[in-house]
Amino acid sequence: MEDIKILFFYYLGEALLLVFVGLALFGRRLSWPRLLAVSGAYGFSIWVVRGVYKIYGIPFGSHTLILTLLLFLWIKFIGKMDWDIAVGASLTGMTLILLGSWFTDFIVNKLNIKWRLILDNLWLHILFGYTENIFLILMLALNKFFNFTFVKAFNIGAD
Amino acid sequence: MINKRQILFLNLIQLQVFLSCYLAISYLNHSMAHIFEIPAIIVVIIVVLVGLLCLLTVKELLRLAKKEKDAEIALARLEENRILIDALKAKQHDFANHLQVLYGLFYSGEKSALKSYMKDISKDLNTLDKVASLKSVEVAALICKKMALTENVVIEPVIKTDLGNLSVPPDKMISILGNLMDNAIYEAKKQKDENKVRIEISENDGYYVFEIWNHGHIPPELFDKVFEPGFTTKGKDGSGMGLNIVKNIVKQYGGRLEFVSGEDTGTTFRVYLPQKEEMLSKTN
Repeated sequence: MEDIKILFFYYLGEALLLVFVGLALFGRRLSWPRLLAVSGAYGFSIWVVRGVYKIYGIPFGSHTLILTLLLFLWIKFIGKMDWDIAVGASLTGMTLILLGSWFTDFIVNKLNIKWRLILDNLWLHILFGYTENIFLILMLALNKFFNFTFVKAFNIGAD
Repeated sequence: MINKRQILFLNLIQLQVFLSCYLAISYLNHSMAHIFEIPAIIVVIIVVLVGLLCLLTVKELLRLAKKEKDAEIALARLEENRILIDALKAKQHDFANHLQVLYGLFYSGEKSALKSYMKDISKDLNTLDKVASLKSVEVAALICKKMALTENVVIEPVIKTDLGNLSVPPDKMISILGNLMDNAIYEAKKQKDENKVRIEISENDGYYVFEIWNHGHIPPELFDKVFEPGFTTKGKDGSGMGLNIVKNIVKQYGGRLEFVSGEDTGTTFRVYLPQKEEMLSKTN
């Protein structure tokens, strides 16, 4: 399993951002206790899934699909959201993370750093991990300052 | 309350975006090889599912587009209903005045004047009744509006059918009749003595026939140009597009547009529009 500090300093923070932004883009907000509960469950899931992958030597890649499914389940059952909002929020959040991972890869290649070096150093891992959240932060800013949501952008009206 | 169908539609698009990003990032991170270690049947199932989702997305898009079009038609219909109600209200006020005149004539014993006045009103009532009985509310509203609001021109509707099987959508119908009536009214206003426009609606051999007549005439040398886009006899007042638009709409719905014009006979524009059964048999 990975160092537990990664869970507290990286995964929980990312999970909080992911859940908040995913739901905010659908015009939904969770109460702080529920938000922390969902983020906590998801952050812990990341740590467990990655740990299992490491232990059994499974190549990373498909863990993203498993984590997307888990995120949907936590938002649906702990966050008590409708299933369509839960699906939308989890897909949105994970898509932004995927785009962010491309950005991180771009930065690492530009700086000519080896991935092995980053992954072996706890604090470098955490630092570069947060660069994955660049698009989440961007969407958070759009939502906060310009009230941007998919509901407004796509004119999703009443039944 | 958010529309659930639209959220589902959005989710379908997001799923496709997510899967595309996932495959793209996996390719860039050179982890595609590991993806292909997944049994082929799983990959085939995922591809088929995504394909089906794409089809579902397109179907939903088309359904939403149709819904938007239906809503536009319903809005146009509502507006025409409102105009019809306003025109009928104005007529009601008119008739209150007529009743006062009738009372005055009766009270003063002017029997022949009373008879003549009643004859005129009943003719008017009969015409209005026939217009209001048209099953195409939009056409009825347009005619009532023109009758109520056109100054210095007498509009005579002659209604011989109820337009129950009209195949042309309301907004297109308004375009056809509106343009033809406006042209006829414009010409009629120029005539000092013969300032009439007659609109006759009848049926003939599976078609509805709309005839719009006025006493003006089109010179023979302009006959070929009348339907050309940009051609107008109204100077700055005209865009030159009205008859061209009418011709295109009539053609689109399998109809026919013709006109006759002479110095003594005036100008008649005749539109033939197929009734609904006729459209069905043509499709078959």
